This record gives sequence, structure tokens and C-alpha cells, in this order.
Amino acid sequence: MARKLFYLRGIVFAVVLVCIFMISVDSFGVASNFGKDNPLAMSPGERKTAELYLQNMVGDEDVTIRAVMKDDQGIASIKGGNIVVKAHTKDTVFPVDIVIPQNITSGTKYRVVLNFVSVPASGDGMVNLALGFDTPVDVLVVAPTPSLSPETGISNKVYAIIGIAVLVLAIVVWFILRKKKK
Amino acid sequence: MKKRGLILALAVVVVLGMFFEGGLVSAGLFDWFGKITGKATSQGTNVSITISGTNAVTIEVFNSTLTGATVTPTEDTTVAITFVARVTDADGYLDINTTSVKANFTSSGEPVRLNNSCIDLSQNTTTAKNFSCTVSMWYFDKIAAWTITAAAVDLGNLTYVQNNTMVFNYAQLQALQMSPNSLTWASVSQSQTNKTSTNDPSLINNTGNYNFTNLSVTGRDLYNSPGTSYLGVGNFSVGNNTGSNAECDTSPAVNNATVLSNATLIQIKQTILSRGNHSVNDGSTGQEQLYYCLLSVPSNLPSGSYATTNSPSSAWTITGTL
Repeated sequence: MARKLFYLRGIVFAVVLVCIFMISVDSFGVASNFGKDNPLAMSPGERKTAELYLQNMVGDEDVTIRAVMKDDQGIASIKGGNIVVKAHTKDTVFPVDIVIPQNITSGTKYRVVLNFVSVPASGDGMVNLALGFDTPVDVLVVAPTPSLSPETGISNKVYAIIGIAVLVLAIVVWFILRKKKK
Repeated sequence: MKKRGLILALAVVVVLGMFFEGGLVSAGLFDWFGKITGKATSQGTNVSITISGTNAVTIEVFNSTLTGATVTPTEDTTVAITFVARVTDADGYLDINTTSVKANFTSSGEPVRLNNSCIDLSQNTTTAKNFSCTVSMWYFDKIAAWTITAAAVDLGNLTYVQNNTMVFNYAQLQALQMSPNSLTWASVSQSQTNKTSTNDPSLINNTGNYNFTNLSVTGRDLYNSPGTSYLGVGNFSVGNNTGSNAECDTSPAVNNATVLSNATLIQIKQTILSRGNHSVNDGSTGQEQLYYCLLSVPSNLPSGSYATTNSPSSAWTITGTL
């Protein structure tokens, strides 16, 4: 009895911290083309979607990633929720919507920062570890450039004007011919 | 008659007005939905070189993979970049040294990535041959503009001539790998101190090409199964040294282990995680090792199993810091 009590006491006073020994790997990557040396160039008032690419090329397990906007700089937004990145893939698109206000001067730089963290599978370990990092998206405001000009192309508006002009001339000709007949 | 003239004049004014209306330059509605992709755009990259000989030889590089813009690294492995080089010799394709065609990629301070034996594709014209060149870039290669160099020689002149006027961008890849992703401790009792984890270190490999300045950790209190008691995460420390309980030594001397704080991102002292070939496995090149210590067990802690899986706790997060 005393031995049993001693044993139970040992259990009672022991903080059981050992659970299942788990050797598992956690890994993922985020590829970006918008670093400080290659910022995303945008004009005042412009809206663009910068695409990051999530990779899961190590191991054979799918990985779930949670993305959080850490510093939106007042110009960026993302859709919340978890993203599942399939094993052996490197092209899961993660869009970042960016809108530059109208009154921003050219040369202004922004550094939007997102945080990506792996969501560990529910395990029985004492301390589960997640892995993450911050990802910067650098944006540079540049002077607006006209998307079309007479030198570079003809817009739909020009075609519309030409069409209307031809129509007006046709009406005039028709009117003159009609008068002549009379 | 007057009426007809008036109508004609009016028509001319309308037509001229339309043509001289300011604003032929316009942005369409769909310009609001401009989209930037991280993928390389489709634009050809041509590299030509001239080789002195009886007649000039030129090389053109046609490339469907390296498309002149950006190449994205692949986590923990290489990216094979294949392109076709056409060597032209006015003396006829038989004058081309078919084993001489080679290509490499270079960037300041980086090892040369090269292919010294581009493959003859046997696609001949009277004066040209096509060669296939494949150059591999590693996951840890620098985020930078890389110079493309193509070179060849003909049989009439043995001097190599090269062209290195073209570049491509190698993109940024932040990628980490951690193992194991769960920590264990042996059973401990109240008031015990300096109990180290039984399955550390957690090995963090940098599997991309981004230089993380350090590692940080966000710890969480460990709760028992009903969630009524918790083991404060402030009782734990983490460091990148071990042996003689170095991970338990929080004094600002050699070991300088870092004490955790609940739900707070804390930089782990002395850590750094630069890009590099972690396969070297020397504990520092492209990798970092973290060791954990339970500094003390509170004397009033009720017995039980304390874990991050018990609500309201959650996993600790190891973060690569910019």
C-alpha cells in the first residue's frame, strides 16, 4: 500500500511533460519579385495585384499556411484565411491587392509587410512549433504614363470618332443627293 | 443652295471637331485591373557573339525558359535553365567547333554557374547549328541580376569569343525548413530546475536565398488538459548553444539564452540565418540550431500534462526576421 501511495505520489507530483516523440519536418517558401532592388512600379491612382508564389517542395506532406497583413502602409490588402499548399508544388498564387492614392507624389516608396506562418497539424507533442517569416513587398510610385498615344496605337475612342464622322458625312451626302433629285 | 452650304459647313466643323478634340490619348476602363505576376514574362533573350576567324561567327540564344525577365528559385533545390544557342559561321556549319559551345551565369561575389558542354541538336542549316545549353541555379544563389555569357570557337580560329551583354534577374525566395516541429521533455517535478528538452535541437535550414538577420520566437503558456492551470512560458529559455546546460544559461556572457514571454515575439540572441548551402551541415552555413530549457517548475503547479495542444494554448512560432 505504501509503495502504491509512493508511486501515485510520484505521479501526482510529476508534471507529465513527455508525450509522443515526433520527428516531422515543417517547411515552406514564398517567392517574390518585388524586393527593394526590384520594386513594383505603380502610378498615383493605380490599382494592381502583386502575386507571390507559395512553395512546398520539401517533404511529402501538404502544408497549411496562414497569411496576415502586418503592415499594409495604407495601400495593400489581402484575403484572410488559410492556404493549403500541396506537396511538391511551387506555384500557389497568393495575391496582394495594392492601390496607390491619387495624391501621392512620384518617388514615394512603400514597404508592405506580410507575415506567413505554417499551421501545425494537431499533434500530441508537449510543445508544437510553427514556422514563419515576414515577407516584404516593395512599391515605388512612378509618374503616370499614358497607356495609349497616337504614336503607339489607336484606341477604341479614335475608332468611334472615325465611325461617327463617316456616318455624318454619309448623311450629308444622302441629303445632298436627295435635294438634287428634287 | 444656302441651306446646302450651311449643312456642308456644319458637317466639316463636326468632323474636324471630332478629330481635334483633345484626348485621343486615353486609358481604358480595364486599365484599372492591371495585373502584375511574379512569373517571368514572355520575351525573348538574344545573345550574339562574334568570333574572329576567316569569317565572323555569331551566336544567338533562343530561350523558352529564361525569358529575359525573372527566374524564380525553387526551395531547397536547383532550377535548370535550358536555352538554345544558334552558332552561325559564314564558312559553313562544318567550320563550327561543336564541342566548344559553352555558357555560364555570373554575379558579383557569387560562384560561377556554368555548362561547358552544350549539346549539339543536329539542327543544321548550311551555315548554322543549334546547341542546347542547361545551366543550374541553386536555391541559395544571390537575389540579383546575373550576367549571361555565351561563348564558342570555330575550327579556323582557336580563340574563344564571348558575349556577356545580357542579364536576367534571379528572384527572392524566402524559405525555411524546421525539424522536428514538436518538442518533448522528460517528466519533471515541482521546483526542479534546468531541465532540457529531450529531442532538441530544432534544426532550422534556410532553403531559400533570403538572408534572415536573426530568429525570433513567440511562446505561449502551456495549459493542462482541462485548461484550468498553466505552466508559464516565462519558465522556458531558448538558445543556440548546448552542453553543460548552456541553453539554460541566460546570463549575458557566452551562452546568453533567451527567456520566452507569453504571446510576445522575442528575438533569440546570437542567432543568424543567412542563405547558404545547408547541406554542408556545419551548424552555421544556411542553418541554425535551437536548444530549449525548462528553467524552473513552479512549486505550486498542479500535477498534470501541460502542452500547447491544450486550449487556450497554441503552438510556439519560430520566425525568420527581416
